Amino acid sequence: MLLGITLFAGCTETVSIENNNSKTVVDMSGKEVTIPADPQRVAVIDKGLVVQSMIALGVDDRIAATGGVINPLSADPARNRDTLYLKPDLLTRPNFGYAFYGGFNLETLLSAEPDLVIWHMLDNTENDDATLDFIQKINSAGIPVVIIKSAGVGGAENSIETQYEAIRLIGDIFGAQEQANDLIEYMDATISMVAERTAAIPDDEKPSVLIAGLVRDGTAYVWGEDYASARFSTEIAHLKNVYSGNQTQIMSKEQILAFKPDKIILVDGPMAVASPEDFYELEGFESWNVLPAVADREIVTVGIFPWWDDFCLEFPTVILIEAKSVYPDQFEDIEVHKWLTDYHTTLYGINDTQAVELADQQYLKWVYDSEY
Amino acid sequence: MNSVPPKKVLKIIYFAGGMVLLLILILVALCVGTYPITLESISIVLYQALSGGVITNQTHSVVILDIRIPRILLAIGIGAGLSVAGCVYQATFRNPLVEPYLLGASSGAAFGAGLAIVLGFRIFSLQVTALLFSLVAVFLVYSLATKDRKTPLLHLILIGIVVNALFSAGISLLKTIAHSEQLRDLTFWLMGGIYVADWNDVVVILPAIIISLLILWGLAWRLNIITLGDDEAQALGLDVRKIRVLAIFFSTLIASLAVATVGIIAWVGLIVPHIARMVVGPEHRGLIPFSALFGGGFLLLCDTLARTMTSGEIPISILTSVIAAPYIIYLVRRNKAIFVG
Repeated sequence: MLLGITLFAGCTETVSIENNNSKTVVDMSGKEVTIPADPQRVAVIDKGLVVQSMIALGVDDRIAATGGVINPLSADPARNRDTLYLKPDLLTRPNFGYAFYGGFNLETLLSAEPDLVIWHMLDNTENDDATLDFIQKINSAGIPVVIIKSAGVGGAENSIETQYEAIRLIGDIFGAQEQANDLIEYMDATISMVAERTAAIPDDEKPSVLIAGLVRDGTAYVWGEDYASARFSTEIAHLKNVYSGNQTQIMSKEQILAFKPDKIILVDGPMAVASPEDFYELEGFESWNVLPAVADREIVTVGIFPWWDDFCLEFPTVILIEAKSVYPDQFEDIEVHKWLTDYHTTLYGINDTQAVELADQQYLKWVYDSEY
Repeated sequence: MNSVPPKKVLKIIYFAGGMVLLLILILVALCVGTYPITLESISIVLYQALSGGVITNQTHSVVILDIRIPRILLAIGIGAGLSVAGCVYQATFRNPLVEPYLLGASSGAAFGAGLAIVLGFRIFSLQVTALLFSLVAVFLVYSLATKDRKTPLLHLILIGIVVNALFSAGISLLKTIAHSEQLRDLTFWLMGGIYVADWNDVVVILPAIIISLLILWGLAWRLNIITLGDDEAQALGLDVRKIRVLAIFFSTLIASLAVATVGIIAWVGLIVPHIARMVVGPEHRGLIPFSALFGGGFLLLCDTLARTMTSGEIPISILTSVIAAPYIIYLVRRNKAIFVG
């Protein structure tokens, strides 16, 4: 019920119609931004959430240019694999550079003639000189900029509600509020289900969980229980994270052995594995074999997620896999591979075969192979 | 009756003291760490390993034998290697502010590592790729600085700066196309860390470093003469060019191996030779082994701190810099010609 209340809490008036040509939205930095009533050419600075939401809402054909990490120069498009699968022509759009180092090319952006820029803040650079400077330059060209944020970024609440707020705002921008709310309701059904099923598990019965992104030679980034999207695992799936704190730390083999986790969840890291089975054959991680989680083969991977705190639209997927792996008894009736097919076909209007191919791109095909 | 000169006795005492200190450091490094193991358990693990007995605690065995010991050995070996390489570079270039990365070894290795991390371009492994590019960088510097079979020191330094800049630009380019995890991985690699140590590294790297150290030690008295100047050295019958090539080659090999394995560890090659010089003077037959001893101990100390001060790993260059920086300031303010002695 609490989730339901928060779900619809964001449905206050964030859009005001000024005339047939424009409207005002309140973006996620709290600014009122006047945008076209029906944007047709949108420049997107994004990791994946905005593009995937636009695909789900059926307005992805309006993407006129890309910036940020959707970058044709990127040597490893692995982290965009699923977005590029869903929209293969994305990289044919003009790309105006990588925000992180203030390396935008304004001329390229302007040449794409966008009527709107949607900027999905990658990190806490919202108030950096380079960011403010670029926004000012875009505005001076008469193009509005709407800021979207990930959970925990730039002061945004570190909760699922922030993800919903982002989707809702995208719906507002494209006049697809109803579809956006339907999308949120559909996703929240799984979130609520996981939260309800795991809420009552006593703390002393919870297995300890290590959430880590592999680096090499036995080292890994370990995610703290309060760190970014790992917090979702703690709050929604009620996982008992071995590492307290609000950061991710690179840790050596010994430091990881000291945790002695009962379960391991592999998240995206410098070294991604396509399936849990791949981990057991990895070179350099032999020292992990003494961990209970490895000895008992209690490892799952959530594929390429979350990537830089951006689940895209897969946060229900990640949370469900995590919850089922740690509390299998609570989710005996859930067949993740079937759920995932339903999820992807519903979200994107693709068929079952394409849903499996999409999961493969996300390094989640293992749930099909193992009928998880 | 012959008697051992007092200075030599003093050096022997200092060296013995240094060895004792190193042994203490090794013991401390063996005993401390995030995984709690008692001294008794450590003794049992070591006894079982040495006697071939049955392992009673697999986890303790892994922590001590597969994690801490390789790390200790690698820290000592690389610390010793970088210190001696720095010592030899300072003699060869007759410059007290030179360190073994001068001729592009670190930037070349960093570029190779960047290629491996960002583009997935690997020749066998990340370490081999980094090593090859490190050697390529130094070869490039030496080739470009050599003209008419002569390699002026100034040309070496200038070309070294240019090649360093070139490879640094390459690293910057790789950073612009890297995604977040690659960026983070590359950043941590550049800051250096012995946390990746395992027995594969030890059995490959340490013998190469030890052999290089012995060869450089063998050049010690020639290095003493080279510090007098090229003309003086030649007048004394030394083949200056040949000695310089040998000295630079083996020093660079050590630096390249070190960088390729554990990333860029700053200041060890610069500072430790000066510390050793303060104790034993500038005579290289004593200076080189002391540099090795102090360098190994210094890096072992820094690495032990790096893995125990926080719950995560502190990049080791942060510690070597923090500890070395005050000493550099001291050296500069002291304004004494300690290089000559």
